[in-house]
Parts: sequence; C-alpha cells; structure tokens
Amino acid sequence: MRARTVVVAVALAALLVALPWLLPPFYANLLCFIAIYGGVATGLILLTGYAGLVSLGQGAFYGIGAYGAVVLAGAYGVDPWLSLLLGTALAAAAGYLVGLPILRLSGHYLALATLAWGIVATILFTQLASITGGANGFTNVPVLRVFGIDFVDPARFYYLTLVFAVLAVAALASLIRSRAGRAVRAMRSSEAAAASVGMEVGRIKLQVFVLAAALAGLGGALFAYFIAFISPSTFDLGASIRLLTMAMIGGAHPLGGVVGAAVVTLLDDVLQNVIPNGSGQAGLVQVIAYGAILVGLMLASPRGLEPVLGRLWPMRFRTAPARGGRGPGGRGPGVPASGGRGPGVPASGAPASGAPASGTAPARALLEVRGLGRNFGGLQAVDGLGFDLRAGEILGLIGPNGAGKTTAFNVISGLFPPSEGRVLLGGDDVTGKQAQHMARRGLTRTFQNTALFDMSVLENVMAGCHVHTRGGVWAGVLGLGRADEARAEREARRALERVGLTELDVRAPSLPVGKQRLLEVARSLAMRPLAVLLDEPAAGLRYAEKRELATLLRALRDEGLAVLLVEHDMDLVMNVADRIVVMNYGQMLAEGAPEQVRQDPDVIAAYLGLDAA
Amino acid sequence: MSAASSRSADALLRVEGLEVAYGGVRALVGVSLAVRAGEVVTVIGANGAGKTSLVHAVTGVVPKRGGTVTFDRLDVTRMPPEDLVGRGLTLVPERRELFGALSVHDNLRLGAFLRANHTARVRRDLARVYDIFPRLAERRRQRAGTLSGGEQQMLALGRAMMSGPRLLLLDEPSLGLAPLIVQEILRVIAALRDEGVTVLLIEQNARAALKLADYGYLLEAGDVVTEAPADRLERDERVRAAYLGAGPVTT
Amino acid sequence: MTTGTALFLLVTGLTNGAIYALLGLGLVLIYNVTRVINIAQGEFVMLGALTAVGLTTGEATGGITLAILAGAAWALLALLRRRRWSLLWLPVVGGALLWWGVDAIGPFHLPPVLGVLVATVAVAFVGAALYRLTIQPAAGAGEVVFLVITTGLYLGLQGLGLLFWGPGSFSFPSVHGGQIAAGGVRVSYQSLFVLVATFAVLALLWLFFERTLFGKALRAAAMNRLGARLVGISPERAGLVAFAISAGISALAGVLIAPVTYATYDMGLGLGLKGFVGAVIGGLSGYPGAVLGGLAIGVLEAFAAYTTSAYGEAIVYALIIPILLLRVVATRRGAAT
Repeated sequence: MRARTVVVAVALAALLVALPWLLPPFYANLLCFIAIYGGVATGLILLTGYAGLVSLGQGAFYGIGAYGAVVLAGAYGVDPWLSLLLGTALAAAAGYLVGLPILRLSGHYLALATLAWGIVATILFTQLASITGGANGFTNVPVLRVFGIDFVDPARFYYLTLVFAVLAVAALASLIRSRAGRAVRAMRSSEAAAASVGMEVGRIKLQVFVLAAALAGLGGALFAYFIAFISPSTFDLGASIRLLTMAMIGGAHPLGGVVGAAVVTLLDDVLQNVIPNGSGQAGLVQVIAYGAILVGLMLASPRGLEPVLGRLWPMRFRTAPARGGRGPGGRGPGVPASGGRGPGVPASGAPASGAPASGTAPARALLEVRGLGRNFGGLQAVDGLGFDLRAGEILGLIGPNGAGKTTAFNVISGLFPPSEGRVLLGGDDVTGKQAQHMARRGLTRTFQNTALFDMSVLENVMAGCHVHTRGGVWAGVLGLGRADEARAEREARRALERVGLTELDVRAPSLPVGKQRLLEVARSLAMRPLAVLLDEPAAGLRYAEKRELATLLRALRDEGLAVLLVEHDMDLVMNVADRIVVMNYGQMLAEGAPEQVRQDPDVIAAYLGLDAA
Repeated sequence: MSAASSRSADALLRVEGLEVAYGGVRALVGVSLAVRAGEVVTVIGANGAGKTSLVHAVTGVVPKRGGTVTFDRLDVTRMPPEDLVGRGLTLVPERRELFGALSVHDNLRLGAFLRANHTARVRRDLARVYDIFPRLAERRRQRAGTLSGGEQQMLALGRAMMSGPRLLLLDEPSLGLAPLIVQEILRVIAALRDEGVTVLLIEQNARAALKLADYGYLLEAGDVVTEAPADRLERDERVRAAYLGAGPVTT
Repeated sequence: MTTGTALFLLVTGLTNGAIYALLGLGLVLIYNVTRVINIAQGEFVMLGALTAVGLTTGEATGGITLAILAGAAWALLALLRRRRWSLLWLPVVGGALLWWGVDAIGPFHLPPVLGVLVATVAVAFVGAALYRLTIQPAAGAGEVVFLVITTGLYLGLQGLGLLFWGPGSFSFPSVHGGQIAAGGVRVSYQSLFVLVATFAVLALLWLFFERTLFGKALRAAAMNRLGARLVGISPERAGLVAFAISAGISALAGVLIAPVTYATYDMGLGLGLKGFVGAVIGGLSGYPGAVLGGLAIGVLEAFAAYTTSAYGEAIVYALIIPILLLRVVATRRGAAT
C-alpha cells in the first residue's frame, strides 16, 4: 500500500510539473488561475465545507492580500518576496479582527455579516485611492525575480502558483487528520457534544477563519503579481460568490478547492469561446450560469464532488494495526483489561486533582447540587432540587413526563445556567459554568439522541481525549503532535475495549443504536472523567443491549466512577442504580433505594395517575 | 385473537404493523390497533414507550418506516396531516401547538380553516365550544400564549373540535395539569363521545384513561404488550409493571 | 448644515426609507413563513421597475417573458410530478399567445397605471414560481442551503435583468411632475406619493393579516408550523403565498422609486441589503419593526452620504454586523429568563 502511494505521488508530481510543456501555450494562463483560485478555495472549503461557516466575503481577504503585497512592493519598495509574506499576514490580521466579533453569529446571520464585510471592503478599496489607486486600479506592480529569473511568463509563474496550491492542499489534508481537524469536524457534527468533550468551539472557529483568510491573502498576492494590475472590482461580491461556487462544487475534501476551481475556470473559458460577442455577453451568461449552478447544485447534490473525491483519496484516519501482547482483544464489557487504569487516574499514575484514590471511601460527595432552580419565562421547571453524587455510586434521576429531569440534567451538565442554586464539583463552585469547563474538570455527559460525531468509531473516542491532549490548528497544519496523537489513539482503543466495541473503522452514525450508546460511554471514558451523566441511555435499546449496558455501568462504578442516570426505563434504573431520586413538578418527590422508591405511594400516584374522583 | 380481528373488521381507524424509527432508534416495532366508530379507545404506557411516535406516525407528522393506516376504509398511509384534517381525523398534540400570538377566538376560528365555506355551521360550533368551555368564552380576546396550562389544553381541544372531526386523537391531554382540570377535560371527552365523536386517547395517566375508555392498548418499548376492554385492562398486573418496572432485581 | 438641508435630507431619507421598509416587510414575511432569508429580494424590485418601464414604453418587455417562462417551468414540474395537466397551463399558454401576438402587431404602450398593475402581478407570479421551483424542493435542508439557493437566484435574476434590459438606466413617469414647498424645502410630488403609497400598502397588509382568515392563517403558519398543519394549513401553500405577496410588494416598491432614482439592472442587491438591515433592527419577526428600521436606515444613509459621501454607504453596510450581534444577544437574553 505504501509503495503504491509513493508511486502515484511521484507520477502525479511529474505530471503537474510537466503540464505547461504538455499543453498548448494558452493553457499556462488557465493553469495559473486554477492553481491560485484552487488554493484560495481550499481555505474556503476548510471554513465552509468542514467547519460549516458560510462566508460570502472571502473576496475581501483575497483583496487585502493582493493590495497589501503590491502596494508595499510597488509604492514602498519592499522586497517583492517579503511583500508576499506581509500581504498574507495583513489578510490574516484582518481575518482575526473581523472574525472576533462576527463568529459569535451562526448560520445565515454569519453569512450575511460576511457579505456586509465583503461589500465594505470593496468600498474601502475604492475610497482609499491614495493607497490603492482607487477605482482606476493599481498598476505599479514590480516583478518577482529570484537568482535573476523573472517570473512573468505564465509558464514560469505557474510553478509559483503550483507550490501555493500544493501547500494549501497539503495543509488542509494534514490539518483534517490532526487533533484540531477532528475538533473542527466534531464541531460541525454537534457543537453541544463538542463542548461536552471540552472543545473550545469559539477559539477553533476563529483559528479556522484566520487560516482561510491567510490562504485567501496569499492567493490574492500571487494573483496581483501574476496579472500585474488589480482594481477593486476584482475582489467584489462577485469574486466572493465565485469562490463559494468553487468550494460548493468541490465539496468537503482537500482536493475540492482545486477541482472546483478547475471546473469553474474551464467553464468560464468555454463560455468565452462559445459566446461570440466578446466579453460583454459572455460575462452575462457566466453570471446566469453561476446562478443556475448554485441553485442546481443545492437541489441535486449539496455535497458537490466530495463523494467522488473521497473515493479517489480517502480521508480516513488510518488506524495503526492492533499490537499483540496486551491481552486478548474482544473481551466482553465489565472485565477490565489487565493493567487497565480506572477513571480519574491519568496514565502517569498520579491521581487527578480532586479525585480520591480508588478504593478509599470519599469523605465528601463528588457532585453536590443545592437548591437548584430553573425558570423559563414564568414556568418553574426545576424548583429547589438538591442531592449528592458520590464517587463509586450510580444515582438514578426519574420522574413522570414533564417533571423537570431533563432541565435539571441540562443545568447540571452546563448546557445553560440555573436561575437559583449551586452546583459543586469536587468542592469547587461550578454553578453556571459551561460544558467545556465542566469537561475539563472531569464531568461529562451523553446525549439522548446520541450526539456522535460524523467520523469513525475510533475517531469519536479520540475526540474524547481532546481534553487532556494538546495541539491547535497550526500544529495540525504542520503535522506536529504525533506523539500526543499516538497516546490518544492508545487510550481510545483501551476505552473501546472496555465497552466491548470492536469495529473501529465503521462510521459512527451507521452503528445500531445499542452500540452507539456504548460508543458514547467509551468517548466519555476517554476523557478520564470523575463523573458521567447519562441522558436516557436505555432509549431504543433491546433487552440484551440494556443488560450489556447495565453490566458495563456497574463495572465502571466499581472502579470509582460516579454515574448519574436520567431515565424513563424502569427496568434499567431499578436494576442498576444504588440510589434513586424521584422528581415531580420540578421538585424532589422522594429519594432512597430502588425497592423503597418503587413502593412509595406518592411515587406510584405520580406515575400511574391519581384516581379521577 | 378473534376479538381483536372482529374489532378491526369494522373499524373507523385501522393501524397495521406500524413502524417508526429515528435514525437508528426504533420507536415503534410493528403496532396494530383498531378504533371503532363511537368508541373511546386508549393507548397507555410509560414514558418512552412510543405513544407520541404512534400518534405522530398515524397522522403523518413523522414518516413511517413501515405499516399502513386506514381511515374509514381509505388508505391514508401517505397522507399529510393537513389533508387528514379535511377528512375528519384531527390531532390534539402533546405540546398543544397553539398560535401563541393570536387570540383565543382566532385560534378557534383557524381550527375551522378548512370549513371556511360553511360559515353558519362554523358559527354554531364556535358557540358550542364557548358553551362547553366558559373560561375560553371569558378570555376570547386574550392572546393564547398568556393562558394557563389548563386553559391552553381546553383551547387546543376546542380548536380541534372546530374542525368537525369524526375521530379525535388526543396526545396526553392531562400532561402537567392539576387533577381538577384533568377531570374537566375528561368530562368533555366523555361528552364528545356521547355526541358521536370517536376518540383515540393517548395517556400516561393510566387510571383516569381506563376509567373513561371502552377499550385499551398497553404499549411498551414500541410494541403492544396487551389489549383488552378497559375494565379488564385496569386490573391487569402488567400495567403496573410497565410503569414501575418488573418485580425484584433479576439479571 | 442648515435647517433647509437637514429637512431636505430627512425627506430624501424617508422616501428611500419607505422603499427599504417595503423590502424589509417582504423579507420578514418570507422569513417568518419559510425560514428563508431571501438574498434575491431586491431583484423583485428591479424586475417590477423594469417590467413596468417596458410595458409603458413598449421596449424591452423581458419581465413578461420571464413570467411566462417561469410559469411554463412550474406547469411542467406539475406535469412531471403528478402526471396531470395543471390549471397553470391556461394563463401560461394564454399569456404567451396574447403577449407575442400583440407584440407581433407592434409595440404598444400601456397607460402607466395598467402597466404597474400588470408588472406587479407578473412579478408576484414569478416569485411564487421561483418558490415552487427552487425553494420547495429543498424543504428540510439547513438554512445555509437556502442561503446559497437565494444567492444563486440573485445572480440568475440579475443576469437576466442585464440580458433583457441591458446596462442602461431607465426612468418611469412620475405620478405628477413638480414639487411643493413645505417648511422651506421643496418636496417632489413623487416623494410624497411614495410615502403615501407605502403607508397605503402597509394599511392594506395590516388589514389582510389582522382581519382576514387567510392572513391569520399565514401568520399561524409562521408562528407554528406543526400547529398550522394540524388545522389544515399546508406549509407549502403558505410559502407560495408568502413569496407571491412579498415579490408583489417589492415590485410595487420598484415602480414607486423608479421615477426618483432611475431603474437599472443592478439596483437590486443594495436595496435588498438595506431592507435587510432595517428588518433586522426590527427583529426579523415584527412588521412594525421592519418598517421603522427601514425608515431609520434611509434617513441614516441620507445624512451619512451628505457628511462623508462614499463612506456613507460603507457605514450603512457595516452597521449590519453590530445590529446582528445585538439581535443575537437580545434573543439569547430573552430566551434565558
């Protein structure tokens, strides 16, 4: 397999290098455009295709890079090569400043904000005429040269653009397979679940935005040197939409940008040749064609060419072959792997802060809930709820429909803050803190609708390791942090072994629901949590699957994990819980051992209903 | 078995082998039931048993993975809810789904949206609703979103009545309501039955439902566990087990 | 700045603002009923203005052609989907015959009022057809998909505008030439007419939504999609009506503003965006808010343009960002308590 990849790569490289010689001279021009747009579109694919942030304003960063580079070189005599770097830096800085406020928006509000930003940038390019040459454009573009070689002829300039495109594609491919790439993809699948494994969603979005802006800036700078003339209309809304079209056609794949750029550029060329009237009519038909393409694409194939590209160059995370000698694989749940470490104890052996060493009875509860209340515009969903959760116990939270269990659960796990009351974790007040914060302190949750990430089983669990590994977007691009990744992979495999899942490469959402639940538990375990909150884990499970889950939970409890279970399924709760808290109308109705609670007349009345007098 | 098949022979509503799944989660695994004209039939079961999925699938609010629904001998399996209303099958959903910013009067009036041509009858039905629910009459100009829980349930029921239904599907009308209001609602349902409206009542409150109904189905984990005339079902030990778990712990 | 100038700017601002208000109304209507943010809203303004111009001057009657083509596509879709001949074929074929038949005889000039009426109806029809052809098939897709679709519509419609009418600018006869002097400033009759007409439209809309069952049904569909379905209101039909009304209002706005600022093929985007800003100020849910927001933006733009010329426009666009941010914060705070 490796050898074949090398051969393909070498052949491809040779082909790319030889292209200008193989094709008629005119095509060198096209190749340059394709490579430049391809690189910029690759950044947009990271932003839109992978991170799900639609931008209708990439043209602005494209323009900032272009103007930045040639103005510095042409008007201020900066070395052209240095100006490329500076132009990119300017675009990145703009990306940071613009991203900071607008990334608080999402969905179409975000898209509209980027649209506004793009228009403002175009106006600024036109108005700051003293710097940019205004509507007439900037012509004082010096020539890029190195060791006496001028990069003017398209066939020669092509190699610069080729390097740019290759770098962009390689950067994206590397990033997507790194820890940060996993975080981006996780965020796209479910921001709530990403937060629950400790990912700083806001920071990731900003980093991705800046990276896309930087790529756009570098592409713009190269473009300016290539054309040797730029004007504000080159970077207007039309350009942004064109880039978006390329990204949509290519789809969410590292090659998507280049492929989309090739399709659009060639289409433009064909239209110019087919429409005889010269640039006027062709430009018009282009516009209508783009419109039709965008609409048609969204209706017919919103994922663009990604399925095709994905088969050509699969972006699967390569799992290292299982190493023998660590004990037989495929063990059932509940039997700890030999030498396996329990939760709350990191690999280094030193106990995590606040966690009691397994085996000793804790003096104070791990999770304390005091007087918790939550109000929704007049409706008191939770009222004065209080209980303790200790390490090494399973607490069941039950109650009839509408009792407030889910609200209480969401407040405790940090999805939204309470209106009254306090939550203490390991003695520290974490009231109102968000899920990411809880995750870093050792509290994690599962979701009723199994918020699994759209990636393989193994990658899902590795995402759980996010909270105790390092490596941001830049590290991902450069391919650093391999050691951390290897460690994360080992830990993920261990967690999967614990829960008894063996198909590691399968796409998580395609698993049957019983296995999905186990996967969520494995992902939580990978975080080395102190406490796990499970949201209706039995929903949709068959009897055998429930038994499997129960056995696993009991094993985890025996190792010192604290488990809080919100459940409707009485079979599971009564079987597994050490203690039960019953809620009704937002308040605590009863608390005690399962048998006790089941026979409590108040509880029976709450569930089966009062006698209609 | 013959009792069940004789029920379905002349049923107004017949559901056969209904399957519903959300992604990988199977909410209904093949539910069959029958409601005869003039009856009050209830489907009871613990939370998560699939009761709401059942009603949503029958009315076309969620897609069905399998099974058929027949209403008055017409196959309505593929029919969306807005068309079912026109045929006489109306749902009062669990969350009521009222038009919060519109007045009580407007909500009721919209209930008869498809009957806009028969204004005299619509006005008569409106008067009847105000008669049955005097509290709504008092608050007819009030915005629906500002009503109390019980009043909202009354409004939801009244709005459904305005569509002139032949079969009324009620999804947990007692949810979150005080016992006295629940009694009032149940009285109204009984009165509707007396007027010839067929009712399929989904309820978590098993006791109240079985007291009112003629026939009952017990739903558990997406499947019908048992069915019987209501008074017999009331005494069935399986009902209690379904809600509060089976006996002592067995692994 | 003298009082006279200030008043003049105020009147100009309100006149433009009235148009933004109408656009904002159209946007809010579509958003409420279908959850789509229509980037192409301004294009309906352009189509309305230019179609009316074409009908009254006898040149460049592309708008009607577009309506006929759209109708044909819609009818074709119905044929393919449900294998039956929809009633749509009647107006489509009849309209086509009538149109090209009359056109063959010779260019004709409709009186302006009739031209406006026909243009409004034609554009409303195009709006409904576009909904059926491009929005309804994507039902259930994420909001971003709809954004890209309406972006595509913006491009396509603007391109067709250029194709049918070319890059020139067109004027439409004013209601009444001349001006009146009020409070030391000259106000053109057309400006007054714009304001009066806008409020007339607002009044009619208010009556429709508040006093007719159908209008309330549309509001209900916007408030609660499931609830609406459960009383027999089809969300698809509601979307169709919303698009038709919205396109019609925008077309009317185009006809109103054409005598003042001239109509061009690319007038749509700027107007649409400013209408959007106004609508967001009003919270994207309320109609009075959209109107006040539109008027506010118009006035702000007039004063900004006077004081800083070209940057004025940049300021108005840049305002979108803080306004959106404030809106999001306000909604979050509202939901949390």
